[in-house]
Amino acid sequence: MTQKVEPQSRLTLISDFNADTLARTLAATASALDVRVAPFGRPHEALADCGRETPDTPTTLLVWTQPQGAVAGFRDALTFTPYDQQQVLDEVDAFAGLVMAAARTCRAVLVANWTMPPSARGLGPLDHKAHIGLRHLLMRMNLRLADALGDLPNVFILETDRWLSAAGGDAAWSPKLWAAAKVPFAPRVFQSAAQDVTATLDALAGRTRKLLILDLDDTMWGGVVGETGWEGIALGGHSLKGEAFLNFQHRIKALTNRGIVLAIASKNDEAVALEAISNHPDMALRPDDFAGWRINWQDKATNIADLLEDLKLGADAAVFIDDNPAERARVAEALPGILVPDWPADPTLAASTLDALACFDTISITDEDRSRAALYAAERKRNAAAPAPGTSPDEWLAQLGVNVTVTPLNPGNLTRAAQLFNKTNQMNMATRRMTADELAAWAEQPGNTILTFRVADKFGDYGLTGLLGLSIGDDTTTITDFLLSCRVMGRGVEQSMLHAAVNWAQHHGQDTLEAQFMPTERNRPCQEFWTTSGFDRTGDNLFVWPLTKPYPAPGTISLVSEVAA
Amino acid sequence: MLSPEQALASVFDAIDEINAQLPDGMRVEKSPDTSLTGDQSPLDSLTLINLLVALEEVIARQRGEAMQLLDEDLLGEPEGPYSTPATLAAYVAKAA
Repeated sequence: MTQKVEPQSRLTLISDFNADTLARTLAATASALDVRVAPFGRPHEALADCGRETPDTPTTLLVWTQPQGAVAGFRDALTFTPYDQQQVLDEVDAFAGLVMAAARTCRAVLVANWTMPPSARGLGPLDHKAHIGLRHLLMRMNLRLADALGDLPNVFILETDRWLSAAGGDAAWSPKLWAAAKVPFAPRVFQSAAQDVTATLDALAGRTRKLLILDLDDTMWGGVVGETGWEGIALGGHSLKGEAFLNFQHRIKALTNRGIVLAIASKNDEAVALEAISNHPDMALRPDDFAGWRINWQDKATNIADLLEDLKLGADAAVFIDDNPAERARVAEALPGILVPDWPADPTLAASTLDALACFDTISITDEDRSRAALYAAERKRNAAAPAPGTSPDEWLAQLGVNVTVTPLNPGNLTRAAQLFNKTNQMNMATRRMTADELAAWAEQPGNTILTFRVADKFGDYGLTGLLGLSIGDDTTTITDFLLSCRVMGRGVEQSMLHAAVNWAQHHGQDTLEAQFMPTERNRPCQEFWTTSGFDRTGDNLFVWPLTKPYPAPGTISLVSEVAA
Repeated sequence: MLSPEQALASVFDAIDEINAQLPDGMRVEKSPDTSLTGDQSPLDSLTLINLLVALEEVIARQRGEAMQLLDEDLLGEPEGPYSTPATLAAYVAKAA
């Protein structure tokens, strides 16, 4: 399956072996990717070249070396002579230094960790002994490399052993291809690697799946709850099937801790299903773990489309898991973009199948991610607490007690701001994409600033959900970026952001504030906001506000500014 | 024993395997007369090597027979046994 990557993405492979097969496999996996291969066998020189910025500097680097190709000391250790561990680690530091230098000129650097064939016995029982064992040394080298590169926000170490395992362990190594063409691995290894690399590129571009929609009967538990009642379903209870489903639920629950939101789409009686989720003693997932559900006898694709609308997410943010192949086919056909993985009939394979999905890969996990499930649960309760008949929208917003706090970009909110910058699609005026480093560097330029917006109401804290980029000109300040999480759209936060922008530009003595809306396939909601914002539309999607007049903040919002006067 | 027809089917299976790893424009046409070597061939040496190793694996998997098909001396022969799927199949059938 051809995967999405950013158009015009360029990836350069640096390796001590012939990486042409990998380059071709990557091109076959992600057709939009421009893959180049540095001359093989000279990884140190190739890295050093990347560290010196040139017009050919790649946007992303993949560095995949064999340990003996990157660290000469390891080559010596392969001869079973005693090695000087410190000397080897110094070489690792030097290699890491080259990666760090390259990372300063590249958008991202992916580094495959070092490995060796599992069948290589090394020194047998001595192989994990310090100062003599190969595997001991290899573990030290990998840890040293990971520690050296760990603080760099645009360097990521990829798990080579997963690629080798997917290709059959020892069968992953091809002595014949090595002898014939200096290719150490069987082609299947490169297929697995290519999938992992494209998943990481997708994560870098913010294309991480955020929502997991689950069927219930024979997916989350064994049996049909409508027939047996919750007492009769297979879940926990020391039975093979029950343990398998419980293990699967624990893995689902774990996903919520990294920011994945859960929902249910099931053909069932809602009251019966919710009774099971609430009352079964072994149920690992409870109603509060789900942002929403559609449990009824309607078409599942229609139900999922409704759910996505409720949660303000696109189909390309969602994954649907169902044991029934017909339901999977129906949903996949009806909702282009949704990921519907093949699902094993054997429930003991469900947890590992879930764990193997690359679509949840992300390049950062923030506090907002960890609390996202709770945020959505609060949203569900918020929606359930319907306003009394006759309540006006403004009265309802006032009852919500929305608080907005404006804070300039700072090291404490940079990771979340960059994540918002790269993930927001619908309410995004310019859809610029920048890494955390690029965002910080832009904000530090004279005349530029990034303002962030935290939003909370009486039901809970949404976290940092809005971001403004502002740039001072001669007389005109430009809103370079205006983006807001869809979770808080339509609550007056948008107007609060423009109020903050106008105040900032007035404070800097400017005459005019303008914003150029850049249409994409996804940001029509943002355009609709701007056309009703009160700004004058003076050109092709150019919106202007004269700074001789204030832009009022909504009366329903409590606005706190931490921006220095 | 492999008949020429069975051998050709194995060659095509191997072509399927390497095509799955190749981008559009580099894929190998599954025809008995496709040129696999020489100036007219769309395959470079690495793709040909990958094809021969894939064919060894296909035969091992399908027939349980370990065959050594990759011979460096034959790689440079434009009219040798690697020149087309048909000649390759004949070479396999003879060696089996």
